[in-house]
Amino acid sequence: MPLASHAFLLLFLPAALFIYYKLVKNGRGKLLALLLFSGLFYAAAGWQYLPLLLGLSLVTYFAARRGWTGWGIVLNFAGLVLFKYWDFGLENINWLSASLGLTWSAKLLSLALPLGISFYIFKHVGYLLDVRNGRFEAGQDLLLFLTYSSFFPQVSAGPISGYKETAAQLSALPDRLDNSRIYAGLVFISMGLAKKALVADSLGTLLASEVNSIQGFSGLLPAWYLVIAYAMQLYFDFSGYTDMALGVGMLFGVSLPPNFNAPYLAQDPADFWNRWHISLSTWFRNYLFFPISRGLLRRWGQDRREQAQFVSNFATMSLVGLWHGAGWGFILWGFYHGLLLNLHAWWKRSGRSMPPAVARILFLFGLMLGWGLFMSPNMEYLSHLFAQLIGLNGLGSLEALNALFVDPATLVLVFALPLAFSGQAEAAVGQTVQQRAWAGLLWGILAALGLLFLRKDIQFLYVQF
Amino acid sequence: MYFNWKKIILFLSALIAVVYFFFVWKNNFQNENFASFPVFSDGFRRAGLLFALLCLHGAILVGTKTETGALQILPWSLGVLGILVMAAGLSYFVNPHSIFPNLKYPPITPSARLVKFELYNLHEQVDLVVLGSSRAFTISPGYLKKTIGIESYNMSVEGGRVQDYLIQLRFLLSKPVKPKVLLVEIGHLSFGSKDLGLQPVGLIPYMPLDWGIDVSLESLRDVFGFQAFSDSMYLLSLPNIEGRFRTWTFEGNGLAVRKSVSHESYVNKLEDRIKTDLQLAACGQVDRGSAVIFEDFLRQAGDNDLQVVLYFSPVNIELYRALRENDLLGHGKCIDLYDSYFERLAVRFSNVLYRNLLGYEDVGNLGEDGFYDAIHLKPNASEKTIDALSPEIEAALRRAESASQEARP
Repeated sequence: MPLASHAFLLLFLPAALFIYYKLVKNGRGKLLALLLFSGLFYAAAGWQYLPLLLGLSLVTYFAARRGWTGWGIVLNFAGLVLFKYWDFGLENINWLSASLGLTWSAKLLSLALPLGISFYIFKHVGYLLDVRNGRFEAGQDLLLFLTYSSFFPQVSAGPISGYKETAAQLSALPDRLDNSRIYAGLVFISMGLAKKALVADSLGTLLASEVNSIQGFSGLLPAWYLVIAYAMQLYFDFSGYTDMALGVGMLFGVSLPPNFNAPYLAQDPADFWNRWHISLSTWFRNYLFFPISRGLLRRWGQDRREQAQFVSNFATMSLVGLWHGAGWGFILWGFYHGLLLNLHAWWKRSGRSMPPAVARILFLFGLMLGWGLFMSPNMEYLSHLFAQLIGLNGLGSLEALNALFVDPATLVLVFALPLAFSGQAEAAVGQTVQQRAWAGLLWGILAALGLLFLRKDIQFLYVQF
Repeated sequence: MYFNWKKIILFLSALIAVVYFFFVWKNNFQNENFASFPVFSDGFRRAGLLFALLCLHGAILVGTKTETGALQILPWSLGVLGILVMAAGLSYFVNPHSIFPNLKYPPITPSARLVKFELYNLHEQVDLVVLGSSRAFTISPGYLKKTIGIESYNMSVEGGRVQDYLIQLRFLLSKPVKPKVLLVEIGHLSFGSKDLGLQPVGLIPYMPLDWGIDVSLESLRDVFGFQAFSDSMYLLSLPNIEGRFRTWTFEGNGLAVRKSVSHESYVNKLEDRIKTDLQLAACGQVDRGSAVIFEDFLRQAGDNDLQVVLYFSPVNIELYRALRENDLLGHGKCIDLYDSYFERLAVRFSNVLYRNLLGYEDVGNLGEDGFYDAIHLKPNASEKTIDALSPEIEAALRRAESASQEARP
């Protein structure tokens, strides 16, 4: 039951809000209600994985309380490795075995990926590391922790929120919301739904078609069209999800952290990662990049700080890539972003300069090439795509270009590109304004149109990670 | 509302989008025939998308944050409800996808399921019910009455599979008077499908709970979906399309009637079917999930003293020969696998009889005289099929009679 689905928006959410505000009267009751809603929400996606979420949450909670944070981290990562990376590892071993002429090969487990596993395990590990580092004490309230761990607006695909900030809100759930907060939540949901259904899914229809296959496109212009369309689809899909998650959280009295801040307005690679999937990049920065670079600095000394940053960037970003998926393509994409970060750091240190507009264009060009890596399902597609991107097969046939021109995706891109580059495409951005009543009417109409345009069973893209 | 250069760019881009839309419309759609369903559907979706995207731009221009939230909640609710009630109301009134018990307009997606269930309620006493796919559409209750002397009803539906048979059985068992015999057209294509898709909502009470939930959610998605809205507008805009979407029409006893097809259509459809079937993958085993459902169907029928006659429908001899000549390919293997499975069922279940008429030459050899295409029987071919099945049907009737005599005190 995705957040952007008829079942959630027309049945689950209204029923949950009714129970939460009309039938449950105290804060503790509301916490329990949130936990039950989260359990139901998660079970709807596959009840067989509910014990895994519950089990790892209990392991995390008790490991923190007993001071066994190391074991807690190991067990959480073991779960992630088993479901997400085990077969990837075996495939590589099998490939190696075959390359060496051996007949032995390991049998793959072929386990399905449980909903949100990459996200909630990172919440758990972040929690354990914070307790271990003394940022706060281990929680004493199991109900609070379980609710934090499984909180349904964010369990599918984040944002990855810190325990301290979220638990404080869960401990003080309001009896009722003020109207501004309710309206804000509704606007967030409306905007997220519209971004997902109107923009992302419309682009996704083209990108899922034969047009986006090795035989389906040829030439520089069609290739760049597809890469840009993918960049927009990914952004509107994920930021749409985030808006909805934030909006739903608001309706229950919980403010979740924003995940996007106009990423296509980024000036350079470092700025980009402060704007794109903010909760994930913050997690990796706090729990991986800083510890790695501090460790390297201690070992190598301050004289080699540049080398330490260089290695830390590559290591961290490669793991960011690996987090996104068990595949060399994702690792390559992450490594590529590490390269961009290092190039940018080198350029800054060199003291050279270039006009900001040129720098920005270069960065955007590099970013789009990165999305080309990210969207490639295999090496054949990747090599075909990049051959077209650099113009090895000319500009593209008139027939192909005309077909793209008249495709509904082009209409969507005409709206989406300025929106993405204006920085106005996130619900969390923007000044507070006085609004007339018809503004609410417009947002309501937009929410309904988003619901009408929702396509069956198209999940948010980041849920697959 | 406030403006800055970013919002001015948004406003301009909306203007560009409108110009682009009309440019594409003029060059690609202006001369198109909007009475054609695909053209209408595509054009309407584009127009709807443009409107919705303009709303998105407009909403962003008015801003997302306000301190006067109290003023906007009611208008927001009215905006949502207004659009959804209009869409759902239209979907119910026009019923383009045959999910409501309302046939004011000829549906885009005709459904024998809706029509046949409604028509059955007009019959008081039915001794034999035909279940099956469109291959059984022309099994004539009138001919059954004439040759065997029983009251019967044809409840076959397009794409009929084992899930439909179970729902139909539960429907039949809910009636005060049950039939005695079920004549079930069966085959490997009745198995394997897991998605129930859109079904008339009136059938939900006869479904197992999990199917009912799936179908309910599917109906919700359809009613509050743009496609249903678009299809409703099409039907409202073009009222004189009676028969356009109907390949088959149904009589009061469930018998399907179809207009004759041209020779060219017959040849094309036959060739297409042969090509498609020869490309189907082999099935290594009988689909377990479907087998569980089908055996439950047979068990429930037996528990309620219903006799079941299963039969593999005859096919055009051209198709049959193509399958047999290439019998190492998947499709032929599937047929043999399921044939053995049905034979075993006839042994396991005392209320079941089975006859394989797939290669029945008396029907298959009729060719264009007996078939609309590779698999759909014309009335004369269906009559020969009934003749071939008469021994099994009469045996089933005798069993039903003796079972009911034993049951009497």
